[in-house]
Order: sequence, then structure tokens, then C-alpha cells
Amino acid sequence: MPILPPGINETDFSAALGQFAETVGTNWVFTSDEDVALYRDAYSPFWGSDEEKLASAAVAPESVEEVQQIVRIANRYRIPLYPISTGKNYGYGGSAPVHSGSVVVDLKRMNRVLEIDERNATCLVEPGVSYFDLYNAIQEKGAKLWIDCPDPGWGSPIGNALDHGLGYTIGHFRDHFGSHCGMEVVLPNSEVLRTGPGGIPGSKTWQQYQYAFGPQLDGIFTQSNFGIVTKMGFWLAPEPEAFREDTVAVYNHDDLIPLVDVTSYLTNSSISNGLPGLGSPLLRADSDPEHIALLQTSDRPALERYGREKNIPYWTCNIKTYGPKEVINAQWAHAREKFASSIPGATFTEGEKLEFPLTYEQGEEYQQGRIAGGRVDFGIPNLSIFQIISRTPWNPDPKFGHYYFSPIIPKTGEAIFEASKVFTEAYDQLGLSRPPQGITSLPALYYQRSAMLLMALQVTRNVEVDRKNRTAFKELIKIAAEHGWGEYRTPPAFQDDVMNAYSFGNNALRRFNETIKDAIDPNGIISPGKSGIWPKNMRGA
Amino acid sequence: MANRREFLQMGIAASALPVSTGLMLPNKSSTAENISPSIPIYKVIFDNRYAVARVFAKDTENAGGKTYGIDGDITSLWYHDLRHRWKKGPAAIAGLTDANALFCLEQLAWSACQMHLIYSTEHKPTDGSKKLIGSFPESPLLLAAEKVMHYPKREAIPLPPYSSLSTDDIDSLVSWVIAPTKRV
Repeated sequence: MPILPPGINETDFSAALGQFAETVGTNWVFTSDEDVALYRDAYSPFWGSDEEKLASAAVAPESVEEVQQIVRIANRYRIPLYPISTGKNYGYGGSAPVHSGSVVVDLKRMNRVLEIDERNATCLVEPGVSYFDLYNAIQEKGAKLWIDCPDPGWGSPIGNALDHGLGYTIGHFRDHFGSHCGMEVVLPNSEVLRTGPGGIPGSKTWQQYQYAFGPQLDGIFTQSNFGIVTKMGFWLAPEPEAFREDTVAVYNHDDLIPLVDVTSYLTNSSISNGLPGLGSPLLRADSDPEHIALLQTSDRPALERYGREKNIPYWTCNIKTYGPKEVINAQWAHAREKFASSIPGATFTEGEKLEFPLTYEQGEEYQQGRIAGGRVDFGIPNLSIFQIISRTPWNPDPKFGHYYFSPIIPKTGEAIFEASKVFTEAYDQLGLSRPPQGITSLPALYYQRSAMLLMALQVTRNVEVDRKNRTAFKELIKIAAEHGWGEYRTPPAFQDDVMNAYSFGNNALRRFNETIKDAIDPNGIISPGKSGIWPKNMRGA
Repeated sequence: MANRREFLQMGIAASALPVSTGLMLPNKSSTAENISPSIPIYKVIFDNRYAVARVFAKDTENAGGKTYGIDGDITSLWYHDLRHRWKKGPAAIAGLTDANALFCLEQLAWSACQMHLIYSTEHKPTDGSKKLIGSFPESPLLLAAEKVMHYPKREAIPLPPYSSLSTDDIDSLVSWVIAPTKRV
């Protein structure tokens, strides 16, 4: 038998498990060591240490009514629950609870695609639906719609959106919570709430209008512990006619500033609606000893000179555009003109041009030679990303996974330079490995008006090394906060620290969350500790 | 860091796996109470990028088994094959792949039909040689049965390794079995 929930005696826990089994069937209550082990976070920064966050059991309901009954039982016995959708949130916690001893509520059996509305380009799904499932349902229906998925296609649209996950296709569809429309939530008192127009019985616009009358509540159910989301609507993208990807290259260090500015203008004007991708060929050492030697120095003019001589750009940006063929060709012509007039010496390369639809098999062909990106640009789910967990000098034993330090910074070249300087110095002070020429973690530009750094720390499964890395991670959170940057998402190991960094007004944000928590979940049964929100009886413990 | 490694010494358990088309593990798995009494292996997965895995696949096919080659990425295997098969119910698979592919398959097998990784052995390279030494196991089926009956220890079980195989860019590979277990 795995661990008990803290403060719960074996008699009560057995009684609760028995009632869970009466609710969902004995086959869907998991208590054996080997079953519960599968709810460990395979990427846990605590792996093998006494601090590792572990489930006590898992229960897998099939319906909203079963979820409600599980919540009632949990209230009766004060059992902490930890709901997961498909539980594939690797790098940010996986399916392991924040509070050790919680019972995982595994929603994988609630896997119905309830509605696909091609005319309005919307869908309604349950939490156990994966991106593969939703993609397949759309294909089987023959609907000309795209999903937007993250790299691993086995995740849940609901779970990903609730954790502020992101994807790769068109404009606002990349922001998965931002493109949701309507939720159904089992509250901690077991009542069922529907947000938006779903509050009207028989609503005809639940997946079409994001607001309701009164406060819009949806946001409080993301990265939180205020309920268990059992349905969620999403807006889908109508399948575009065509796609093109082009590259602009610039050769001076400071060219990054106008490069980002023009990219932002194009994005914010919807002239380019794809995910821009920043790169730096010059900061990536090749086999030329002169290049390698230059990267070890701080002689930027010499490096720039070398780059111009060898035609190696300091910075590049991939510009992706989706739409009617004639339109995107015109959009690229305009984008090119904007870059050329803003950045003397910029060069341009025309890249991939595709017309849709692509079959799954054509997507597979497109993926050949690519690990990251590829099919996800077209909303085709896959698992290719797991090959990227490859061996590098900074990741000597890759099979144990990683977790991300991911602060949001302003979307400007100046901010990128500042963050690079700050975190390069921080990495050195903290003894973290990094590439020789700065961190080179160029930001991801998923969001329209901000940028995200993604710096992976490796899980070594060496208890001492992992402990040092956790300490370093917490320092990075503090350093980021001192510069006005906060993380968008983090594994359970660091959720208290990140929430504490949002300290404006004497931690008014956290205290307000706690006020809500205490009011709606007085027994503290739903995901205690999630995002640093602890119920009253566990605060300060 | 050198990425060209040598694959040595630890045996390739995979050639010993029981395979489908009527081949099953013995039903006297008394040392593994949680395991199903017989485990037909639906398909044996190999990583097509590595010569040692290709030989292993050929060996499996010679023993009557069905194989599926991947190139590190299990997406096609999942999308075109396993998800359809596992919708009908649990079906054991085995393989010789890298750890990333096994990680994905273990997760998918649990989510799809509550199957477990019941056996795995990591095969690490040893510097200094590009050859594998030893001989093929004489009775793959018996050897596989023996391994599975060690469940749930999940210990590395030394196996007779392949002989004289050139190595590829291998960091390490894992031989493994994922199979249904009885619920306890």
C-alpha cells in the first residue's frame, strides 16, 4: 500500500477507497504500488528523495456524476484530491500531486468529444480527450477545422489550457486558455457550475460567447484548486488555404531590436499570423576553430565581422503566415519591405510553401528530419518531441527529463539583452551549466505582446545534484522577480516560490486566492497547494 | 562529447521475446502472481536506426513474430497501429528501443488499457570495442519466459549477447516487455 494522505488514518482511508470503488467500480480505483507508481512525475526534481510528491491512490471516474460523488466522499473523510486530465504535463509536474498523499482523480475515462461545430468552428470536450482524440474526431467528421496543439500530442486540450499551455498555429489559437469558450466545473461542494452562457439552461451560445452576465469566472479555474473542470469548449481554426514560411536574417548584434519590433508590428497587425521563431546562427558554434575561438571572447565587433564575412547572420527570424495563397504572398511582400526599410543589410530567404489539406501521412513526411516543430505548425498532433531529449554537454543523461524555468519578459530586443545578461550571470553564480556564449535561450514568441524564456534544468536522479538544482531554480525565481519578470507556469516543487514572487500589495494576489479557497473549499480537498494556494488548515505547515 | 558509442556486453534480451502467431509465455507464471497466465506478444518494436536492433527484429521475425520498426519517434506506431489495437483491449508489446521511446509507450499503455512495464533491461555501451561478443541465445522463447517470470523484480538479467555486430551511434538501448497484469 502506498502512502496515506497526511492526517488521515488507515481506517478512514480504507473506507473512502471503498466508497470510491462503489462509485466507479473496483477496477477504476488504483491502490497497488505498481499502479500508483505510474502517477509519479517521471520528471520530478525530487525523484528518489524523501521530498518527492507522491499520490496515495488514484480513482478514475467516467462521468460528471461520479466526479461529484468522489468530491462528496472526499469531503466526508477530508481526503485531498488531485485531478488530472491525461496527466502528461511533463516538465511542469506530470500527474503527481502538489500535496503528497493526495488521491489522484484521473479523468482519462471522460474522453468524449461532445460536439464539433464546423460552421462556428467550435468544439466541446471532456478532460480525458487528448489532442490526438480531438484531431481524429475532426478528421472522422470531415470538418475543415484545425486544432492547435503543443509538441506532445498526448496531452489534453482541457488540461493544457488550464495550465496556460501554448501551441504553434495561428494567432490567438496558440493561447489555449485564450481560445477556450465555456467551462463546466464540479465545485468543492460537489455542485456543478457552468460558466459563460452555459449558465443559462439550454444555452444556445455556450461555445460561441466567452462572457456571461456578471464577473467572468473562467480564469479562476486555471492553475488553481477551485474546482474540477469536466467540460470545456474551444474555438478552432478554419483550415487555411495555404502556408508559407520565410526567413529574415540580420548581421549586427543590435539589429535584434528592430528585428523584434518589426516582428511585433507584423504580429499585432495580423500581417503575419504564425508563430515567429528567433534564432542566432552566429552564436551557435560550428566546426570552424576561428568561430569557436571568437565565441569564447567578448569581442562582439570581431564576431559580427566574422559573421558578415562568412555570411552567418547574428540573428534570424522565421516569419510564418497562414491564409489564402495570394493574400499570404502579399503579406510576405509587405513584411519583407518593412524589415528591409528598418534594418539595413537584412537578407531574406523564401522557405516552405504548402497548400492544405495535409493528410496525417503527408504530415509525417513533412516531419522527416524535424524533431521540434513540423506537424504542430499545422495542428497535427505527434510525439516527435520526445526525441529531442537527446544527449548534449548540458544534458549528459537525457532520459531522466527536465523542468522549465520560464519567465515572461517584455517583447523587445532590449529586454532580451537584459534578460540574457541577468540570467547568464545568474547561471554562473549558481554554478549551472550553460553554453559558452551566454545562455542563448532566445525567447519563444507564443504570445502576441510578451516573450517567454524557456530554460530547462535537467533531472539527474542524483539526489544531491537535483537538490542543488532545485535551490538554484528558486534563486532564479527571485532574480527574475527582482527584475520585474514572473513565471507563467512551474512544477509543483516551485509553485509556492513563484506565487510568493507575485508579492505586490503584501502578497494581495495570494491572499485573495486563499480567501476564495477558504470560502469555497473549507475542507481543503481540491489540489491543496496548487499554485501556492493552500487551504487554511494547511497554511504554514 | 562523442556521440558514436559502442553497444556491448549486456545481452540483447529482445531476441528472446515470445512472439505472436500462437506463441505464448507459459501459463505457470507462479512467481508473478499479478501477471496474466499467458502473454501473447502482439508486436515487437525495434529502433530501425541501430544495426543491433535490426538484427534483433530479423531474429524475432524468424521466430514467427510480428515487428514494427521506428526511427526513435513512436508517433506512427501509436497512431497507425497501437491505438487501434488497444481500443479492443490490452495486448502485450515488447521491444528494443531507446529509453525515450519506452517512456512514451509505457505511458500510453497505462492510459489506454492499464498495462505495465513488466520487464526492462538497459544495455549500456562500453568504450573500447565496436563489436558485441558472445552468442545468440539458443531458445528465445524459454529465455523470455524466464525473464517475465522474474517479474516484478525488474532487475537486469544477464543474457547471452549477440555476436559480432557492428555498432551504431548508440548511447544505450533498452529491451522491455509491456503487458497486462491482473488487477489486485
